[in-house]
Amino acid sequence: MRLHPDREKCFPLLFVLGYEVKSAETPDYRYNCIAFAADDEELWWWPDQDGDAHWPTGVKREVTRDAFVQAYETIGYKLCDHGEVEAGYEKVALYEKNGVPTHAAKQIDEVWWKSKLGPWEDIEHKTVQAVQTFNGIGIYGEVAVYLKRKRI
Amino acid sequence: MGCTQHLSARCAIRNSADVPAPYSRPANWWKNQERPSWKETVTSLSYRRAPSYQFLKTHKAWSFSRLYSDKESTLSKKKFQYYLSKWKEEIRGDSSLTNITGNMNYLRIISIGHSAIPLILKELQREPGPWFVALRAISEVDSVGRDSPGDFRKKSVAWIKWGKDNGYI
Repeated sequence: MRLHPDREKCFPLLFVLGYEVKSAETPDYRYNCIAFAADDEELWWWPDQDGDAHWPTGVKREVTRDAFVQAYETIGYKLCDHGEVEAGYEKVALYEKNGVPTHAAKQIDEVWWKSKLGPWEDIEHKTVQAVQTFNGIGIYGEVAVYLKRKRI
Repeated sequence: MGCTQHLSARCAIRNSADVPAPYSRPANWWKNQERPSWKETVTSLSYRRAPSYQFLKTHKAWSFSRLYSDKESTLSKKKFQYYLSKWKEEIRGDSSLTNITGNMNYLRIISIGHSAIPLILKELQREPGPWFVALRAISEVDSVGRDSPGDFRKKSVAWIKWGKDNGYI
């Protein structure tokens, strides 16, 4: 199943590199990509200053790479060098656009990563590049860092 | 001295001047007009939470309050629907709450003011969404739904209850 063409247009590499829609959109803003990569499908994670979104206690509420890395560290992730599959580990890719964190995807297996597209659908895509910006078109920019933790 | 026919015609004209035409206002209506108090004015409005400073003592207040008529509410509704669709179009698959609530169309919805509150609450009843920033900004109420960070459904329920308690919906 594919995204609506208007949505697919926002990710120019998605169709080319391969993807599948895995769940319906959540127009009620139930959760976002940052929560989804942290296996939380109940809350919207974001370090907003007003405290409206969920953010792990003790982590700075600022939209910086450090704050996002620290947020994932609270659930056992550590920075790592690459996004290749490592036996016994699960990985998260953190995306940035113009130096600002925008998105997170979680590795499922050797082939697939999963992403929640804001309030839109959950998808599985074959590479981390599939949701990246291409030729200036795209919402999420590029992968900035990878994090990993031991698979439970 | 004119003929009786002309005389009666003149009387008829004079009489017609004395008797008000149907639907017209009585003579000197403007002198006897009772000015509504600002409270009455406020309760007659579509948006009861219009800021009270607009309904102070001067006679001008009456004509000013008329701005909040159905026409005004229709205009607000049209603006709201327009900005809402633009906002949805522009935030796309963005996860950043900062971008979502800082989008220009979201800010334009806030700029509609108090008349946007019932419209936002209706939207929340239809579908939970990140409307709490707008509601806080317009209503100046900061305490609603603050105990459930990240759970927009709970926040929506809290704001809808607040809207009902305060007569917005």
